[in-house]
Amino acid sequence: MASSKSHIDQWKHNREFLVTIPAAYPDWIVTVAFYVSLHAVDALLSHDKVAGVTRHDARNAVVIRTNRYLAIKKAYLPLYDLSRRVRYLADPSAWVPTHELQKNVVERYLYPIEKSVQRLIGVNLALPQISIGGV
Amino acid sequence: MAKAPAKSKNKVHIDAALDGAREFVLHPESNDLFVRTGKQVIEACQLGISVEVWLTELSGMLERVIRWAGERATRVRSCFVSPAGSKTVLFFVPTSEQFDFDLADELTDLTSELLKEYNVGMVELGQIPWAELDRFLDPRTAIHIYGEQQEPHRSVEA
Repeated sequence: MASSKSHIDQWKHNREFLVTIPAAYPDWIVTVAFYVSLHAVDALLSHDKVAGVTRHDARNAVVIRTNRYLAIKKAYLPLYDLSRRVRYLADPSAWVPTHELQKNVVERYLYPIEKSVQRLIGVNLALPQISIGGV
Repeated sequence: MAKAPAKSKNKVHIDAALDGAREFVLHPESNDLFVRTGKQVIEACQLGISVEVWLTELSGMLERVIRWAGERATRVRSCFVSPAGSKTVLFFVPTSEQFDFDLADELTDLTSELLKEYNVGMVELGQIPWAELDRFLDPRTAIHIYGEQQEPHRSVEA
């Protein structure tokens, strides 16, 4: 099992990439935002010594069935769904318009997951604000 | 005079190695048809329930989903159920042409409810756009359960 710290490092790493993606690529913004959140969740699971979570289904099941992760579930599952479909669409901008990215993908989903994970593992990572497309 | 239907006499063996990918058609008395792979039948048994009970649970769950969608008819255009490996995936098509973020919140609540109330294994709920249904729905296994249905694609229809 990778350490909580190594997942936090990858969480930050993916975050740095996220802010470099132009807003014209909503499919990849959503996908990278999801993998930011995935490493945040895995940092928490590692901290909580939850073993054997190597697949999306197993991770989703743990997030859904654990009361401690209730706040994460409400943002993580929709972000998982969105990322799971958007990269296969012929017209991803129609499904997730650019103007929804900051408000809904970042502020509605990603920030609450990051905030909740930090609270549950007792750290303050002082993460910088995310501005999609440098807006 | 119609003959009574013949009864099956031979046991059907499902071997994970040999029949894992083979499709079986389950035909309960309700006349619904369910296509499941050998792997899925075995996994249903591993849930600790019989396939018959699993089908009853699945039917109950789908009835709940249909009611749920009907209560949101202005926002849910259509709904399909599709097997995906060992899980059951429910696809919701919003009436909007874009991902419905408010509906997504409600689907998260529905996911928790379904997993709590119905013993059918893992369930995944998601939204897909009407314009690209064929990207996600396998016409051989997906079942339309609510709302509007698209005309079959010509190549499928033929």
